[in-house]
Amino acid sequence: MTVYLPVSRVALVGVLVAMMCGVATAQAPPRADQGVAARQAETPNANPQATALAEFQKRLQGYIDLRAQLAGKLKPLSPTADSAQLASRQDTLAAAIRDARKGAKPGDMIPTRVAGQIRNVIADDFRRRTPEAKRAVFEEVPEGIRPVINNSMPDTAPLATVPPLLLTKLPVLPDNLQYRFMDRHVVLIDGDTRIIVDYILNVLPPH
Amino acid sequence: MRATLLALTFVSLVVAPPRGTVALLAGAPAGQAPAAGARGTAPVPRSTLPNEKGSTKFAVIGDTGTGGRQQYEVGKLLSDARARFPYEFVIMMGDNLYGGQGPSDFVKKFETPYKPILDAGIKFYATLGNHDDPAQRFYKPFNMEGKRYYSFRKDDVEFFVLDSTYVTPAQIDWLKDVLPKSNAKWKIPYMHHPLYSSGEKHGSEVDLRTLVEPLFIANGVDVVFAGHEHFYERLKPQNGIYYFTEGGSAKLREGNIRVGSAMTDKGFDTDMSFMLVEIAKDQMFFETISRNGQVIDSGTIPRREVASSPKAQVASGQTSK
Repeated sequence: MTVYLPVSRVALVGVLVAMMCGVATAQAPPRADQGVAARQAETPNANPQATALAEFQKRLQGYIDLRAQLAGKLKPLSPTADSAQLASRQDTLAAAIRDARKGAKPGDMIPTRVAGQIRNVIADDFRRRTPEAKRAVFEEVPEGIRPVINNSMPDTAPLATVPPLLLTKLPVLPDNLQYRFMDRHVVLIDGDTRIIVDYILNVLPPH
Repeated sequence: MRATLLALTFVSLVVAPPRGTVALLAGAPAGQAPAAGARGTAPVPRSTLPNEKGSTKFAVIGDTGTGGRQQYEVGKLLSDARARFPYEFVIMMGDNLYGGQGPSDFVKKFETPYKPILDAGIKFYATLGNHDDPAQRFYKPFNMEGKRYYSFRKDDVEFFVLDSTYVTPAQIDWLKDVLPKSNAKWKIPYMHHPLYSSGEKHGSEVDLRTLVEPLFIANGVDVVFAGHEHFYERLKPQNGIYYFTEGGSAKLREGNIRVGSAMTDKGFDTDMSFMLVEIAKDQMFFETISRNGQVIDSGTIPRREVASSPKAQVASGQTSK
């Protein structure tokens, strides 16, 4: 009996330490690249939405890492007075991203569940807008175009502004990625190269 | 006819005007039809600006990047204006390049029309418009230093340049951080989309206004510039702040200012225009010049002291006209 007591104590201490670690993990401040959703996803009983959001953030970070890796091999997009050089650097980076993601498919970046959340947020936002406000949003959205991954947003059409209040409700993106509207679709673009990274079809109300 | 409706009665005030009043110093009636054949050879107008030594002098242009004849004509006037008003820099309200954004576009739509100004070493500070490729921020002559939103200071004036085409929460956080920290006497934000506008085509940018106007009010902003609307408009002060739209320096949306708009203090939508601005101590002098060289609006705006209870103005829900 006396032999087992220390073992039990060790086991008990181990359980307590493990529990404390668990508590400590749950109370740790969010990492800059993750947040609440990601932390919840790390726990066994995470809700599926949080898991999907964490997965989204992981994929976005993967894209940013890839982009940084590709950009590191090229001349950087840094201030230059030579517009030809600027265009060349942009084109080279775009070509490298396209090449590295040539097999990319819709949904590779935005998980289905997150796409659903984005749909809901946008639908809710537009329900609250007046007809005049809706008209203002759609005014410069390019029409009759279907997004294709790795294609660029046309530079002949304006980049229609995504309403700032709506942006506060959508999942946050890293600095080089942006949500944009194209016809009735939401596209995720690389801000510097205007390459379409992913998209969700038929999100916006008919206009 | 429409322009006549927008015309103001010009008054000259001898004493400094109270807050909320622009002292109009000079000007031709708004919307006066340009003289036939005058374009491109417009006479240099007599300045209404004090041109004080040591003041901060700059020009404002917006929605410029067409590469068309009108841009070149306004560009020439802007360049000629330096002879009588030696502005030190130019702020651009966005849509710096319409359509193609290739190397030849930078030449045709920016470098050539403003060549004499660039050659004189005058700096341009751009903001991004909805027609602009965000990569323009790396184009050195736009002085954005690779940033979509940034600030820069000239003497007693600090400019806060926003990217209104994509307003992320991070940008708002940045503004919340830098505006209160600024100890500049004058804090002047500018961006492409106007928070207030009487334009029939676009109108006020309400979402953006919801996010940034409280910050402007709380931090003693006196003046805001924007573009997007292809005309010139000076709004009646909104919550104590003067808003200017100068989006007609190369494109014109003729007759687009809503007739009878209660917000318009001065509108000009019958020709292109640009602005000259001078800040001397606690006063901002401005002059708006049409493509045919007429001064179509001018005046003086006194600086609002941060301590002059802006909260009271907001709480009352009144504009300070």
